Amino acid sequence: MGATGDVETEHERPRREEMLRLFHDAQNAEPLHNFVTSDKLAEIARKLDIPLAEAEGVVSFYRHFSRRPRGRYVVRLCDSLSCRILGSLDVYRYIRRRLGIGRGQTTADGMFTLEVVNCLGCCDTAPNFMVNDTLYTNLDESKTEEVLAALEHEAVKEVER
Amino acid sequence: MRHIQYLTGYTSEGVGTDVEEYMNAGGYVGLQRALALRPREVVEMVTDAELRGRGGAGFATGKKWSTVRTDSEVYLVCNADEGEPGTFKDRFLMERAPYLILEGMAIAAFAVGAHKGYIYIRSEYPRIISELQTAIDTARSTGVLGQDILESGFDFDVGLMPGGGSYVVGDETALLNSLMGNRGYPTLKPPYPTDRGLWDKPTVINNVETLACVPLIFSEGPEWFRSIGAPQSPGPKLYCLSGHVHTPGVYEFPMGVEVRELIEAAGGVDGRFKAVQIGGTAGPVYDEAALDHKLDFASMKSVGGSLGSGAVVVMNTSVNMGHVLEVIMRFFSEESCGQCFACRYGTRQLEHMANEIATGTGREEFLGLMRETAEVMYHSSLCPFGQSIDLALTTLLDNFSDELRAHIGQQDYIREVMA
Ligand SMILES: Cc1cc2nc3c(=O)[nH]c(=O)nc-3n(C[C@H](O)[C@H](O)[C@H](O)COP(=O)(O)O)c2cc1C
Ligand code: SF4
Ligand code: FES
Repeated sequence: MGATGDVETEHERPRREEMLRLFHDAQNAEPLHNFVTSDKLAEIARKLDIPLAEAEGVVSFYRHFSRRPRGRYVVRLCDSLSCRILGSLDVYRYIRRRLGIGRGQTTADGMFTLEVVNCLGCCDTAPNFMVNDTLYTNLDESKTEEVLAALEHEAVKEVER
Repeated sequence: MRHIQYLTGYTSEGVGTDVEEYMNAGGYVGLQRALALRPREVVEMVTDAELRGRGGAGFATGKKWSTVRTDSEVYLVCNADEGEPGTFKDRFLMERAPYLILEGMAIAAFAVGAHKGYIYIRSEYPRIISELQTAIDTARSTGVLGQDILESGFDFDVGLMPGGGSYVVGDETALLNSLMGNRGYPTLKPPYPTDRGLWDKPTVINNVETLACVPLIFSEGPEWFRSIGAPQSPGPKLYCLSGHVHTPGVYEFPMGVEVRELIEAAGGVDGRFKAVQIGGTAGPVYDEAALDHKLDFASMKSVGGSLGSGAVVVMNTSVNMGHVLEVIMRFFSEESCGQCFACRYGTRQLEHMANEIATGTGREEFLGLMRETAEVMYHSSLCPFGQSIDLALTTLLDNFSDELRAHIGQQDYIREVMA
């Protein structure tokens, strides 16, 4: 690195503490697949001036980020105690029947990925899942059906547009 | 014991989320008073109030603040990672009373000499992240955050940091690593963060609820604070009621409220009471003997338990304790950071055995093996995560051994979720 430009770039370059935020941005930039692409990861490593392997090491630690393409809608179903005793297993079984996917799997059309996660911090409305950034509460089979159908509908509308 | 509305006084609709309304309700009186004191006096008042950390460990807040190394720049971090299953009080406060938290942070910062603070918030709260950012911006433009706070000459600003979905990161040493853009691995203490934290600078970490209590100490006085609830761990406390109660939610009571009273406040048990887990996933699981337990740090410790985060998960007789065992052990196995062998391997073994028990293929000797495994982990794990499994497991096995034994050899449907 040239000595003269250093002061400038030092100010412009994001600091290492920005790493997780950059991962979030990178993942959000792929709304159809919800993952951090290799290009984006390399870009982040360059911006932070760290080896690519180091960025890879950090991103792999955090469950929120994926390095492989996922569905357009990532369903994060809570299966911690409060949700479990109020029916998360029923919700899980319904999704499995309805979409044909189990935990960690993505539907063939790339629409849904199902993840089973731990407490989402809203046990007072258990059982819960999040779909991308939206929380759905007090779930049972019929509400799950409503949510899935609405998301399918939304996706179809966007394709038509 | 009656429920109280000190913290929740700021959480009612429209009060805590609007800076003007918040001030009309008495907000920022505490900060004003604190800024008129010397930092050392501010620390002394918190010590005098006997405030203990609400993040789980119950560490004396005044003591933490008084041990900060002073020969360097200091950072303040608000722990809003709230990953403990059954816990949603920090979310409640952040949603409804962001200025109470920011005011508490400003007082804490003044006390310990910090000019920069961070709120590390779990990424599962995306809406709160944007609302908090708005509150931070508003606080800045109102003069209660940023430069020359309330014209006192004191500068303090706050940045928001989203997490990445990891329970272990809630541990303070792991959280600091994560904040610096590293894997969220816990590290051995000492050095304590107050000595060597963010970028090796002294750093104070407090839980959201702890910081929310701080303004009250200055607006109402330390004697007032100390007069509420249990003598050895006083003050208001937010309890999180969930599971089989009629009206789950956050309930504010004086420290030391009985489990029975809390359940009544939450509308009573939906069905017949069977079990309760207190303090989070690593907390003890009790039968009805727990109904008389007083929920404060000292009382819970005296019965061999722990108050933890204040989570209270109520279970009725429909709940299968084999499933509870499985859910808890799977949590530990999934969330172990994998850094130390005992915890990485032990949690896998525990999950495996619990799964076999829950699905009816378990063997009698698993019950003893699980205890041994947890005990080894207690002695050889690096951080409290691996050490803490012992309590949940032994209470579960002690209090529900007949049922768990009877479970052995009975096929169940639980395997489905494991697939
Ligand atoms: C595995 C683990 C997870 C933790 N999770 C949290 C958490 O989500 N929120 C929190 O405030 N403290 C959590 N803690 C406790 C913190 O390490 C720390 O004690 C606390 O933030 C200090 O704040 P306080 O003194 O105000 O309680 C956790 C500890 C461990 C070991
Ligand atoms: S005890 Fe477990 S969670 Fe804690 S550092 Fe070791 S492996 Fe990680
Ligand atoms: S247990 Fe599901 S949100 Fe807490």
